[in-house]
Amino acid sequence: MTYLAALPVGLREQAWMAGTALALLLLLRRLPEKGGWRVLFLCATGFLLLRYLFWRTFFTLGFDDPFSFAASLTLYGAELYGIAMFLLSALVNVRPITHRRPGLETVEWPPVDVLIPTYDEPLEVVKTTLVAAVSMDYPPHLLNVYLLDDGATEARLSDPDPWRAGRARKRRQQMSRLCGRLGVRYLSRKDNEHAKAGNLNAALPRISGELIVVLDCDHVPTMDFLRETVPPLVENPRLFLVQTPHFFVTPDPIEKNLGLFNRMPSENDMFYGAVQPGLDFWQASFFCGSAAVLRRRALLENGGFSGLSVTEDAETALSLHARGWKSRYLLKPLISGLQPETFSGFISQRSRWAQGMVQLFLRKNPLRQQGLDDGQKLAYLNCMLFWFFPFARVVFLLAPLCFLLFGLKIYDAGIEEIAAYTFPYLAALILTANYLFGRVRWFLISEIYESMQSFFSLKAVVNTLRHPDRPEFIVTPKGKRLEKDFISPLVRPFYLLLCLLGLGFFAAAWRWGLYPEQRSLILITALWNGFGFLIVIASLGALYERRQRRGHPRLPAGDLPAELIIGADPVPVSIHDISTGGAALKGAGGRPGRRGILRLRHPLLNECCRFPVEIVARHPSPEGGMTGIRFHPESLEQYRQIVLLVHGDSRRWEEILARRERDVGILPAAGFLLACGFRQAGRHVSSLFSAFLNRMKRERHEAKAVFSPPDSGIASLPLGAGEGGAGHSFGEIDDAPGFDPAEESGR
Amino acid sequence: MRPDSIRLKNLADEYRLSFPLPRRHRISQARLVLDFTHSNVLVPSRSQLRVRVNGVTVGQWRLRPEQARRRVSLDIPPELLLEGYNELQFLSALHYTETHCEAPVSPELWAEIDPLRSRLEFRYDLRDAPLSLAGLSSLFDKKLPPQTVALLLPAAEPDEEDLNLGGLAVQGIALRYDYAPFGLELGRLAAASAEGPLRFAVPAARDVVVIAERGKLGEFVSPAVAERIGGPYLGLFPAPGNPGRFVLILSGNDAAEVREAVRAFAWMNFPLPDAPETVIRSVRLRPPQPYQGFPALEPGGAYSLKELGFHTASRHGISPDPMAFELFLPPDLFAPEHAEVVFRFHLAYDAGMRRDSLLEMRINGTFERAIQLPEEGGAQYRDYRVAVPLRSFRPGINRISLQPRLVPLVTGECLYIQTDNLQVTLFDDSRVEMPQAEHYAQLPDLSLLAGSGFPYLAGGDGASLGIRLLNPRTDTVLAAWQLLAKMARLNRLPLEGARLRFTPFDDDRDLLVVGGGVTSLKDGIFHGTPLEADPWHVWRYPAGRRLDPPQAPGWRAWLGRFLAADAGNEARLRDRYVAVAQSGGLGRQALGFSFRHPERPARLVTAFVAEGDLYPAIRALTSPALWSQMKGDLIVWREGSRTLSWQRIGEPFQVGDAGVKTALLFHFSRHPWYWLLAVFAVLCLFAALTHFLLNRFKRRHHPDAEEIAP
Repeated sequence: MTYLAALPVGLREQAWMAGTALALLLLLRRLPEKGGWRVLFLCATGFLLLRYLFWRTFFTLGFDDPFSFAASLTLYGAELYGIAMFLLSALVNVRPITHRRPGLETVEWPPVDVLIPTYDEPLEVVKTTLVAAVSMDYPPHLLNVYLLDDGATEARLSDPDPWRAGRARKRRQQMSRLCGRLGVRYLSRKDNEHAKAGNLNAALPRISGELIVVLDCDHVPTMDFLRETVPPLVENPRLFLVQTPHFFVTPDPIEKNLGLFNRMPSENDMFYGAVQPGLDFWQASFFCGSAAVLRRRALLENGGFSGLSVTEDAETALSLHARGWKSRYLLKPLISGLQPETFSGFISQRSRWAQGMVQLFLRKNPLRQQGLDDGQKLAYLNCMLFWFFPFARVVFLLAPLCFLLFGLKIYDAGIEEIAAYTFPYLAALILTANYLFGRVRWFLISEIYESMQSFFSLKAVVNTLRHPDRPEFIVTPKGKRLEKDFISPLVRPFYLLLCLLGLGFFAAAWRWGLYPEQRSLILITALWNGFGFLIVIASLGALYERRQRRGHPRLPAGDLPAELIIGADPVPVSIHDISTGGAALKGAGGRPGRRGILRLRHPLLNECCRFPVEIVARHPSPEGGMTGIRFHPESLEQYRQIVLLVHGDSRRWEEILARRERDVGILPAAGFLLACGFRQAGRHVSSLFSAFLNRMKRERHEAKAVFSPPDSGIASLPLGAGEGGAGHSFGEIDDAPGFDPAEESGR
Repeated sequence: MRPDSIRLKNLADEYRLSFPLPRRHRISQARLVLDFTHSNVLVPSRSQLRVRVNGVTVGQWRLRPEQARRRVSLDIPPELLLEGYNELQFLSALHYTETHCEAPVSPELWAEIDPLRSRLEFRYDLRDAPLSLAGLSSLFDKKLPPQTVALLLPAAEPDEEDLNLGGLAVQGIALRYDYAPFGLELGRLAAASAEGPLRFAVPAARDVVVIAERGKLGEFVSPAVAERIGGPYLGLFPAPGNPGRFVLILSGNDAAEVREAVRAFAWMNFPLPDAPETVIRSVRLRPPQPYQGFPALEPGGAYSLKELGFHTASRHGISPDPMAFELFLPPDLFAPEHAEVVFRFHLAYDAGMRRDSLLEMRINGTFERAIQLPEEGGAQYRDYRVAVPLRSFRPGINRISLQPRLVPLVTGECLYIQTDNLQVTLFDDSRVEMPQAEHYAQLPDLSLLAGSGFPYLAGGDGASLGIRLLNPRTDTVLAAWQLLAKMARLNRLPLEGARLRFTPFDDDRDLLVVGGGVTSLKDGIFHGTPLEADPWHVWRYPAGRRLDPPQAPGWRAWLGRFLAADAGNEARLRDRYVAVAQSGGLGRQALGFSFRHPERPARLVTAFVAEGDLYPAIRALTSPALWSQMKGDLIVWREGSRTLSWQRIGEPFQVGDAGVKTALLFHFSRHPWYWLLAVFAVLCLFAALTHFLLNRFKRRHHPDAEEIAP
C-alpha cells in the first residue's frame, strides 16, 4: 500500500483517486462503524494521508531562502507530528472493545481498601465522597475506607507560619472527627513527599486488602461501584487494574463559559468513551488516578505507586504492563466528579498532565520498555506524544502569518496541487475524526481546546523537556465558586494572537494588490488565517469566565415522584433536579421560608425516606410551577440517603451520557460551536468595554477593577437554590450545612 | 523552404541583423543589394527606408507608391566594418497621410525586404595567417565562409592509429568552427621544395593539418623544425607559397607523443600560448561526466535561470526581441505522462500597459503558454508558476523564449502614445524545477541521435562510442571523421574515448557503422536486421493509416475507453506499409539505419551506407537542416536535397536503469484507471488482512469482549 501511495501520478489521476476515496469514506460512514468496514475506512484515510505525506515530502519542500526553508520545515514538522498522531490514533482506535461482565454468583468477594487521598479540598467535597464510599454495596466487613490527608501532615502541622500551622491543625481535627463518625480510617503522614503517589504509597503498609480502590476526594462513587469492578479482578488473577470513566457532573470552564455543558459531549468523553476502549484492545488501558480498582499484590511487586513523574497513575500502569500484568477498562460511569471551575485551574490541570506525559516519554519511553508488546508500546506512545500538540497547534496558528506578513514560502505548491492533495487529505482527516469520535467529540472542539491550552502547555512542555526532573505535582483546584463574570487573567496571549491574525488579513489584502499572480495562494492562506481567527474568537468567548455560585452540582433527577408535606397535607411533586444541598420540585409549594418534609421512596435503598426541607424559592406557573427547596438533614443517615439519591445511581450517569453523546454531523457541530463562541466573544468584548468605562470611572472614583476574579462571597440563590454550603470559599474549612456530624456517629 | 520576408510595419519599425567578418579577411569593397516591396498607399514625402551599419546611416530611400517594388544597391564604406560581428539595421518610417492624424498600427503601413534576393557582397583577400597558437580560433574561424581543411598523413592509406588521431584532430577543428560547416580532405605527405621550413606540397586554397611522427616527418621539414620536435609538438607555419593559408603540424617522437599533441590541439580553446610552436609535456583531464559539455538538468533538480546562463534582462517596446534561455534535457529522460517542468518566473512590468499585454512563452518555437500582464498599475510577480508537460520538450537542447507583446494603455489617432513605459523584466533568480524522472529510453530513435547524440554521448567522453568503417576508402574515412566531428559538436567537447576501427569491436560500445552500399551489408553486425544483405532488397512503402487499437462494440468498448492507455504524446495513428522485394538499390541516395546490436542487446548500431561516394552524403546529412530532420530508425537522403525521408521498420527496445517502480510508473501513467483499480484492490486486501489479524488478536487476548462503535 505504501508503495502504491509513493508512486507519483498526474494531478488528474490523484484528483480522481482522492475523490473516489472520499466518496468511499462517505459511503462507509453509512455502514456499521465496526469490524471490517471500520478497518477499510481507516485504510482509505491512511492511504490518502500517505499520498499527501509523500507528495508533501518530495514535492513541496523547496529551498528558496534560509528563512523560508526554516519556516517550511517547521510547518512540515508540525504536519509530520499530526500524521504520526493520526496513524497512532487509528491504530489505537481500530477496534474498541467492551468486556462482558462476569457472573456475580461465582464471585467470592475479596477484602477491599478504598483510598481517598486529599490535600486541601474543602471538607464539604470530601465528606460527600466519604459518605458515598462507605455506602458502597459491598460486604461491610470486607470494606475499609481510608482518608489519606496530605493537608494535615506533620510537616504542615509544624509549619513555621502559625496561620498555616493552625489551619492544618484545624483541618486534621475536622477531618479526623468526620472520619470517626463515618467509620472511615484517617491517615496522615510525616511530610508531603512525592505528592499523591507518596500519599498513596505511605498508606500501603498500613492496609491489607487484596484490592485497592483509589478515589479522588471529589469523585463520588455510585453504590454499585465495587459490584461492577471487583468481579473481573476476581476472575482474572493477572489483572492489576479495572479502570472506569471519570464522569463529571460539572462543566469544565470552556464548556461552562461557552454554554456547552450537557448540550454536547464533554471534552473528556472522547478519552473515556472511545480512546480507553481502544487502548483496552491493545492491553494498554491505563490507570487514570481515580475511579479504579487495583490489585495490591501487583502494586507491591512494583514497589508501590510509581513517582518518577507527576502523572503517577499512567506511570504505574506502564510499569505494571511491562511486568506482564493486565488491565481492563469498564465502560460504565461509576463515579461522579467535579471539573476545575476556572480556566486557570483547567490550565493548571492540563499542564500537569502534559508535563507528566512528557516526563514519562523522556524517562520511561515505552519504545524502550522491556516487557511491553508492540501494540502496547504504540498505544502508550500515542498517549504520550499527544501532549506535544502545543507545538503543532502554535505552528498551525502562526504559519499563515509567515507567508502573509513576511512572504516566506512555507508551502511550496500550486492551487491545483493543493486541490488534489491537501484538500482531500484535510477532508479525510475531518471525516475520520468524525467517524471515530463523532458521538463523543464534535468537530472543532479539539481545535478550540487544544489551541487554548497550547500557549500555556507549550511553556510547560518545553520546561519539562529542558528539565525533566523539575515539574512538581500541582493539585487541581476544585470547589471554587465564581460570584460574577470576569475575563480570565490568561487572556493576554489571545489578544496578541487575535491582533496578529487580524494583521494577517491586512497583509493578505496588501499582497492581493501587489502580487496578483499569487492571488489563489493568498486566498487559501487568508482562509487558513481566517480559520485560526475563528478559533481564537471562540477562545476569547471561552475566556470570559461566567459566574458559578453553586457549591454542589445540580443534576437532573428524572422527575422522581415525591410528596412535599407542609403542615398536614402532602402535595404530590416530582423532583426535577437535585443536589446534596437542595432540589427543584415540579408542582405546588409553600411560601419561601416555610419548612416541611419531602417524602419519597428511595430508588436505590427501596425504602421510604423523609427529608426535612426549607422552601427557598417559588416560581408559580399555570402548570404548577417550580419550587426550590433546601435540605436540612437531621442525621447522618438522612445525609447518606441524600448523597445516594444524588450520586448513588450509575444508571443516571449512563442516561446523561447517552443524552449528550450524539453525532449531529460535522457542519451543524461547527455552526453550533462557532455560534456559542461568537455569542460569548460578544460578551467578552462588551465586558472589555465595560472594563474601559470602569477604569475611567475608577480614575475618578477609585472603583474596583473588573479584571480580578472574585474569590469569595455569598450569592443569592435562584430556583432550586437549596444548595447547602453556600458561602464556602475554596480552601475554607467548615462543616456541612443542616446537621453537625459531631452529633452522630457511625453510619 | 523559402525564408520569411523581413517585415517592417506600423508608423516606425526596425529590424536588426548581424553579419560576421573574419579576422583573416581584408575587405576592400562591400555592397548591399536590397530588394524590397512596400505598401502602395504610402505618402512619399514622409515615408522612407533607412539602412544603418554599426550605428551609422549609410543609405536611405524615399518610398514612393508608384514604385512599390525596388531593387537598390548601396556601397558600404569598408572602414565602417569591424572584425567580428557587425550590425545591419533597417529602419522604416511609414505614413499614409501627410496632414491628418494616423492610426499607428494601420494595416497599410508595411514594407518587406526579400531576404533571398537581397544580399551583402564583399570583395576581400586573405591576410597573412596569424602564426600564433593563441590565434587558433581565428584560423579555424566560424565567421569564415565554409572552408575545407586538408589532413596530410605520411601513409597512403591510414591505419587505425591514423584513423583515431585524425578523428581527434577533426574534432578539434569542428569544435573551433562551432556551428559553421566545413569540409575535409585526406592526403599523403609528398615532398616538394627543398627550401624553407616545410618541404612538402600543400593543396591550393586549403588550410592544412599534418599528423605524423618526427621520424616520418624528417624529409618533409627542415632539420631545424625537426630538431624542435622534442616531444608532443604543435607548430604553425605559413603554407608554402601562400602566406594567407597555414599549416599546423601535430607531431612527436613516437605515436604516443603524436597522440598527446593531437589531444592538446583538441582541447586548447583559450588564446594561449602566444607562440607558433609548443611542446606539450602532459594533458591532464578530470574524469568525464555524462553530458559534460552542457549544464544538463537532472530529474528532480531545481535551477535558477542564472545557472542556465540567463542574466536579468529587460525588454522595451511593443514587440521587442524575446528573452530566451536554453535547457538541456537528458535525452533518456523518462517520466509519467503527466510529469511537468515547472517554471517559477520572477517578473516585473511597468505601469500604463493595457490588459492584453502579455508574454508569449515558446518552447523550441512552439507557442506553449501566455503570461498575461493585466495590471494597469504595473506589478511584480514572484514565483509566477508555469507548468509545462515534460513531453513538450525534446531531448537535448530546448530553447525557451518569452516574447513580450506590450500594448500601450492609451492608443488612438491624434493622441500621444507613450511607449517608453512598455517594458518588462525577467529576473535571473527565476527557477526551473524538473520533475522526478528516470533514465530510460526507447530505441532505436534517430531523433534522439539528432537532438543529443543519444546514446553515443551518454558517457560524456565518447567512451561508449565506436565507429566501425566497413572499408578503408578515403570517402569512408572522411565520412567517419565528419560524423565524429558532428558528435563532438553535439557534445561540445572532444570525445577522447571514441574509437574508430576497420574491424569489429570486441568491447561494449554503441556503434556507428559507415561505408559500403546495401549490397555489401554482409558484415555480421547486420545479422538479423531487415536490411541484411540479400540479392533482393525489401523496401517498405506507406499503405495508409489506422487507429490503434480498434474499438470493439458494446460494453467492452465502453469499459475499454476507461481502461485504454492514455495516449499522451504517443500517436495512436499507426502507419501501415507494404513491403516490396526488388533488385533496385539506393542509386545516388544514402541510407541511415538504426537497430539493436545483434550480440549486445543493450547497445545500438546506426549504419550509414551509400552505393557511391559516402562522404558528400554524410557532409550533407550533418548540416543542421538535414540532421534535425532525422526520425524513426531508417532515413534516406541525397546530397543537395533539403529534406530527408524517414520511417520506422525495426522493433523497439528499451535501455536505461528503469526498475520495477519505473515500469509501474510507465504503465500507470498510461493507464491511470489501472492505478485506481490497483489502489482500491490493495486497500480492500489490506483492510481484509488487517481485519483478520485483529480478529485473531481479539480471540486470543479478549475472548470475552465484544467490539463497540463509540
